[in-house]
Amino acid sequence: MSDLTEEEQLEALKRWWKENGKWVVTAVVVAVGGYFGWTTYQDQQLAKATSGSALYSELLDTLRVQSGEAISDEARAEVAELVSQLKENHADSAYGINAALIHAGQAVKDGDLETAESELRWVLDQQPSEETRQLAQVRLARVIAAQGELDDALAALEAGNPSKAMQAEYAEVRGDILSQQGNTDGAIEAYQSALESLDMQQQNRQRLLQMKLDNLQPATANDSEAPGPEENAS
Amino acid sequence: MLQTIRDNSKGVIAGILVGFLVIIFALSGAEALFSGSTQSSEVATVGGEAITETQVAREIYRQRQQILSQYGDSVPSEFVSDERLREPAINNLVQRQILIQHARDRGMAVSEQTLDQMILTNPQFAGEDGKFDSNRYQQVLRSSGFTPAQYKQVLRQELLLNQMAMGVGNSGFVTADELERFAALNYQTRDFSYMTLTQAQVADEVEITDADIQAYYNENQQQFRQPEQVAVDYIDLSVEALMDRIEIDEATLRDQFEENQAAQQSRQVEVRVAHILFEKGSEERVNEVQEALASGEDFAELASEYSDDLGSKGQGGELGFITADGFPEPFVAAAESLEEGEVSQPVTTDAGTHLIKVLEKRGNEEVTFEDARDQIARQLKRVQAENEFVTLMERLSELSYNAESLAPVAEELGLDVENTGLFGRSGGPGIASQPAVTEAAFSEEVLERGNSSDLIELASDRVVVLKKTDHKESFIKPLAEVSEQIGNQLRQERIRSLLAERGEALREALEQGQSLEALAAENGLEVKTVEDAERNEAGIPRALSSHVFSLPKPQGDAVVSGVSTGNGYALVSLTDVTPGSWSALSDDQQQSLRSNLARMQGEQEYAAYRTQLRAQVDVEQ
Repeated sequence: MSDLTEEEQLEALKRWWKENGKWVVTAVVVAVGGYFGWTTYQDQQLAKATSGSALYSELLDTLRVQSGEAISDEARAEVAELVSQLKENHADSAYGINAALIHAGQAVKDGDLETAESELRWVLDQQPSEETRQLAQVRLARVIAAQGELDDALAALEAGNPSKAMQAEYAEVRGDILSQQGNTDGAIEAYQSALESLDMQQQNRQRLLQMKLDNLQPATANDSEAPGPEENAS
Repeated sequence: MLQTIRDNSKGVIAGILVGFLVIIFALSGAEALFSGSTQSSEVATVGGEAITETQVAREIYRQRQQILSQYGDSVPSEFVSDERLREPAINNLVQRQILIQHARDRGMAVSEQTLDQMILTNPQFAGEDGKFDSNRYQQVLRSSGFTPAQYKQVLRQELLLNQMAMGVGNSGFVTADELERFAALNYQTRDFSYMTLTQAQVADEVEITDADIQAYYNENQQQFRQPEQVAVDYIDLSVEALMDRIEIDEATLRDQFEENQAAQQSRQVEVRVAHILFEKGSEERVNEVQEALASGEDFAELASEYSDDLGSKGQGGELGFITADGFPEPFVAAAESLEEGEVSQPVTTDAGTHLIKVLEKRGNEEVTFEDARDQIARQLKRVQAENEFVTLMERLSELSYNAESLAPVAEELGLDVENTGLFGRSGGPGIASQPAVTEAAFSEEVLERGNSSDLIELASDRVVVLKKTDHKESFIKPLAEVSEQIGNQLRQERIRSLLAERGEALREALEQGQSLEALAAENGLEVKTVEDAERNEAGIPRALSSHVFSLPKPQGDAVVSGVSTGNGYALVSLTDVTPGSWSALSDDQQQSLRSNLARMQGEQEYAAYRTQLRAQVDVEQ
């Protein structure tokens, strides 16, 4: 075969190119096109994320300047504006979601429970991932309870279906609501379960829960089973 | 056929291949092909991303610095050893990585411009004119072991973590009715009367006889076992001790002093500082931090909480040694005017407002010969002693090997031999407190064969050699030696149980309806009445007060109960409970309670959120 003339060689190559050239060109175009497509897509995602990031930073700055004191009306309007932009354009990222959480927190501070409730409901409507859903849900239950709708609050809490990590949070809120409803036994049970699922390092939290629990001690006269912690110095 | 094409169109195909490579390089950078080779080994992977040995080493270093800056150099070295810090360091990195991935997955990012802006305005990187100085930037990064790319990466991560924490943790709140209920509970007061039966009141009735002691001794023999003990002769050879024997004459000292002076001419004042940076418009936070400092809170902790300088907040605000030409003028002027340990008033630069703390100052003293004399003498002695040390160490090793006794060895070398006295495996006073010495003294070589130990290196400039002089097997101490100890122990036990017995009896009487006053009179006790006692009321034993606040609320009749306190048994009659009131609190109290509870709530929720994330991510270690 090596005795082919140069002309024949060229001829062979041309033939090969005729047979396969189309595929080679297509493959190259697809590969290059795909690559550019992918990077363009990524660039767009990044651009979207960084624009969200910038707005979000602005939101944090606006709130931070006001820390300690009540926020001015001007700043409050700016916060609301930034939050609505973030919610509108970044609802699918943490920027939109976190902006709503922040706004809800600020609203509670201002005593505007309705706004807080609607922000938290908005977060839940976005069908966020599990950790965010559980967090927003328990906050929602507290905001509803603060408006005096204890049965609704309890229902919101039930809907939370917390995983292990969030159980203490849920149980404490449940205890608070039940004790307001006068269901002492239920509240005691809830606080006890909160104490059990509590991270041992959270001592402040533990003290607070114990305080709530002690306060519900059944008021039977001459209770001989009052717990006497056996503490001895030596 | 194929062969033909290969042979004949080599040039063309090779051209196409090269063309491809050119495209790949052009698109991704040649770096992509080689970047894998320089990475250090993996310690763990988090959701498919590796945590490397280098990162772990850096994190260990960071944690160690943090502990040292918080507790000073007095921290025992084993508390900051690599082994001890490794686990927490890895955990921390894993936790961080999980959050960063979470932030990225959820569409969070920080732009190059933002990062550049932060670097440009960081006072740490500012030159003389207060503007960014790229040489200084490179230098600072090098000294902390970062390449610019790594530094940007860390900065980016810090920003993401901060954005996440602000959104999830800092959005925590506390509602008005939660605050009211908290105040009602926390500021609740109780009225009660109590009397205390003390140990002293029953002590007279307790008598311990010799027979009791004997019986206890017989039953608990093993408690009184004296463990095996050994005594050793030792020669302690150290540079420190050798230095004491060396004399340096005045002339040599002067010569050295002149030499040092010449070398020091060029040195400048150097100040090691930490700072807390506040971006513009955070005057309130400046005040907040100043107040916290005035009330004695730790600067480093405040820095890590408040500082807007992300580069240094993790290190307690520490910037290392700054020199007059590396930082903006007002910053340096403030730093130089302070004494060690002082914190400046707010200082304003282009970057914002700083609170500066001087950690250390050096280099500004005008040194006289008299001041420097001792130090120079020490240096010269040390050099000489180190030489002697090496020689003596070798000879000590030779001579002590196979020596009948250490005394002649010591004499030959001009050293002293000393004896430890008897000590057990858990160590003893003096040199026996060194674990290495105890271990060697109880080794087979020294304890059983009676040979000299090898040289034991206690530090790089100190060695010891041991030889056994006495050995005592474990034995049970005779009764005479321990009878007093047993007597006291039994007495205490008896008093406690008698006290509890009496206390319980009184409590039952109370519960049967007898009055506290009547019982007090009967037993010669004094009744105290407290009104509106708060939780942790001063003058009330903790155990009593927490018991009183855990009692059910009285409904008509007083609630009676009893509890062991530190040194007695208290009988209580609880008469009234008054809830605390939110509106009775001052504005300041309300304000601080509101923000503290909201913060605590947010932190808890964020902790739970992170735990939940961790459960969702695949971590391999």
